[in-house]
Amino acid sequence: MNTAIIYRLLSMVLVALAVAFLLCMGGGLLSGERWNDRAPIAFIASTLISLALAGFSLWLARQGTKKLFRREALCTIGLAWILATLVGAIPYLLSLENCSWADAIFESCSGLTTTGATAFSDFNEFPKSLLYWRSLSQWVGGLGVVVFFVAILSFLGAGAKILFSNESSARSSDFEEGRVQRGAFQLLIYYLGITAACLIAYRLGGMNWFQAINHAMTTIATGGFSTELDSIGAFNSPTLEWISIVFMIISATTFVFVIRLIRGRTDVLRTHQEIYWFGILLVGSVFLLTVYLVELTGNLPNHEMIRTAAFQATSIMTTTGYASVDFDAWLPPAKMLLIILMFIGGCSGSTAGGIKIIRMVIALRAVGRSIIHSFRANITKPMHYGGRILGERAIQSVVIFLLLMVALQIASMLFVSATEPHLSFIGVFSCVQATLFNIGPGFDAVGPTENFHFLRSVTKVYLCLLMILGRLELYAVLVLFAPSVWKRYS
Amino acid sequence: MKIIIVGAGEVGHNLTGTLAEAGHNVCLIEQSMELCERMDEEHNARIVRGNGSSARQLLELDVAKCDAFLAMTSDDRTNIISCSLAKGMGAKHTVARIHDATYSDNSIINFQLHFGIDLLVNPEAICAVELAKTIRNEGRLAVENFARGQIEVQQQKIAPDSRLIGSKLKDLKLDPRVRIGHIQRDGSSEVAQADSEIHKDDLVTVFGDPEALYSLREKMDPSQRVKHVRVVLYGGSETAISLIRLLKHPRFKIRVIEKDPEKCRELAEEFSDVTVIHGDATSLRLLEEEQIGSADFFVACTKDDEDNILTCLQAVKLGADHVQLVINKGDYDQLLGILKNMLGIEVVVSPRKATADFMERSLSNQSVIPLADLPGGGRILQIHIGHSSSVTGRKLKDISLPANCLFVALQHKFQAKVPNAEDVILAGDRVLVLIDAAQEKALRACLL
Repeated sequence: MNTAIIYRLLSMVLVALAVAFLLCMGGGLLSGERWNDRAPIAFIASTLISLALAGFSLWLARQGTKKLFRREALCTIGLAWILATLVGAIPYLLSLENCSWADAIFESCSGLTTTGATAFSDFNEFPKSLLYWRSLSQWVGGLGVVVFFVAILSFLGAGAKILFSNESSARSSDFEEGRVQRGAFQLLIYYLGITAACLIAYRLGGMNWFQAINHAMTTIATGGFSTELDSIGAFNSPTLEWISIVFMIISATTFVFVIRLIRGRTDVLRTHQEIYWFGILLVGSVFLLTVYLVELTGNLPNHEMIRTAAFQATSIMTTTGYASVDFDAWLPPAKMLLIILMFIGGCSGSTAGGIKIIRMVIALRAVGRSIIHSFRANITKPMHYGGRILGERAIQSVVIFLLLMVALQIASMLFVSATEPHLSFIGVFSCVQATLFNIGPGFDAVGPTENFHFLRSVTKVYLCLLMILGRLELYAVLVLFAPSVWKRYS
Repeated sequence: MKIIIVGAGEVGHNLTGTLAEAGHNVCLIEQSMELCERMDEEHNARIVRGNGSSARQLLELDVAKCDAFLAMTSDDRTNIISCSLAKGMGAKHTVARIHDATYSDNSIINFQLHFGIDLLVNPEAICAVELAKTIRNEGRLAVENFARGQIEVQQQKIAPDSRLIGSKLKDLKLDPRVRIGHIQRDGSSEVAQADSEIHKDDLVTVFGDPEALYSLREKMDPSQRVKHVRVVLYGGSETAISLIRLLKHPRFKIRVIEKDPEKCRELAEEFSDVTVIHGDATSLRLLEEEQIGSADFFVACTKDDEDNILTCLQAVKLGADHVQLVINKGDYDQLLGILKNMLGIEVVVSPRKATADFMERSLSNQSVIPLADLPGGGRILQIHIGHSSSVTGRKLKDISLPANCLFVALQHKFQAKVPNAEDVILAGDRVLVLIDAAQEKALRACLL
């Protein structure tokens, strides 16, 4: 394996992290922190550590070619995320008193993977700069740590494409541009654009600049970190909730298609069915949740009920994880529905997590096809999706992915229940689901008003792994555990 | 530049790689799903599965905004249809890969004009030009060809027994298809004038039609007169056919060895002067029977690279004077350098590389492209005359070029020729100019 290119790319990730640290420190200083406070010093130290590591890995990469094959690309992505998680934990460790290493790593991982689960109960008292880092890490992680470079690095050639399609759930063939770098660059511009729009909307909706910046970053990344203990609920403002709903939906729809739509390519509306399924599922679940709320409260449906239902359904389905109310207190059928929505997630090629609607649709169609096959064995029926024909291998990989996700969830439940024997069944279940599908809050002990602080260190680390696995859609992390990847010749 | 390529065969595949690496925005259309997947992994380009001659497909790819449309499938008709469609839908520049000579025969109807194709490219023919260059000019180094082999430039020393010595250029009665450019004498060079006299040991730069040049060369150096050149071609491929066409002068005695009896018959019917042998040149017995050892040139040009390499080795061992090799696959590139030195193979050409070079030249939007450097300080530039140029619409005799500069060729639309004093330069033409390296700046000022 060509380890030099891996080290080289890792060093770039580290340099970018250093820049991000400096940005957060600057933000903190502007919000009234002083140079000799604990936080700026912690951030300077983190920057230096990150730069030193970058220098070291650049030194390791001093010789070797620039050839990047699939194996190197997958390893780079897996390692980059693990490394970024570890380095991203340094500011928490250094700027907080009595911060355990597991909490720091959990928080950092939950940020980068846009999960939004927190291990702290008092994060509203964090220094401003650290809160900035918490949100910025989600914003960076939303698009992908490596994608940020693909746009810039032109020396990677076709390797950039492999990197991109393995880190993001979008396919590089969806781009209209020939060069994947240009496609990724457009994506970056779009991402920046909707973040700015969201920021302004929040500001006009009544947040102050600090809150607006943080919430804009975590909304667009469908991350779910908030600066307030009660999440969006703390503002108690219907306007802000509607703004949030709109931007969560925007950031959970496939970016490339929205970009095309903006450019006036209306044929996208015809071929891109995922967005319709997204709409149907969302409207349907809002309706059901409203019905369950009526049942729960005994009142007739009013604006607040619909808004709450819409907010929760959007927040869970887009895997953001904001909470406007404590939905753990809702009726069991409502919770069931939320669990299903957690599983499905948003559209592919967006910042949302979950298994993605497109996979669900394809898998269900494959099931339907196999039923037809059982009584008409000779029928030839290629599967169409979005105006093109899906190959057998593509269908197979979708089904295997689903299977792997479910198997991983079951196995993880076994593991977590062993390390946390006092946790209830629903607690274990939602603990695993909330992290594997990058949602954030779960039910019961890890519900929207609770946090993950009480878990043991080993559980936290394991959940971190699940978050990265879920964010990278398994393979980029799983290959790191395949011995033959590391062997020189096998 | 936005480029659309149709067909991911050996040519399309390599072109995609070269152009994408050069930083262009490349989109490749291919029908086979399997090939698409392989290409997607290999190239930093957009790979689309579909039909390159479907208007709907082209519309989806926004063909109206593309700067170059290259139809590179192995099927001539597909290429012509796609190019014609693309042109009709607004592609700026269309290039079609064409094998069959029928489509480049413009005597009845101009195919390019009729179908709206800006450029016909035949990779095999480009290869053949490259091969023919050395076969025609055995043992000579400074030969360059331009405009798809229509014009050759070479340097020639005047031998002591030449009958031209002492006569002035205007008295020579040269073939109108050739020109004498520079005359180099005792280290100084001058542009040939009508009154220039030819001396012994002058180094003369001549250019023009390759065959006419050959007869001029005989006059300059009678000792170079060659009666027969024995050429053996292995494989009746497109390259071989193009090569046979280029070597139509009766001094070339051509023999073709081909495995496929059907192809043998076609070849024999089309070229009555060529000896066609049905057999497999990988067999030693056949090679010996056909006396490969006494051939002047052995050219291995089948579609099968491995066969080509091995028969070349065999030919070298049997004692063929010069051995030439055609390689189709790009993957062997790095091996060829080694092979060339070790095995005594003189020329290695590849249709793929030839096409890539050719494309790069013709797609370049630079107005001045250096094409070749001649030993002795000469340089040949290709200059694209734009609408804003001061020389547009003027006759050549009215244009005063800087000292030591010389028009070599004038390419108008699809035709290249050695220009006359009466020829008019039009906007959009390309001219080849032979210059002294130091004069480039002055020339740019004059022509651009």
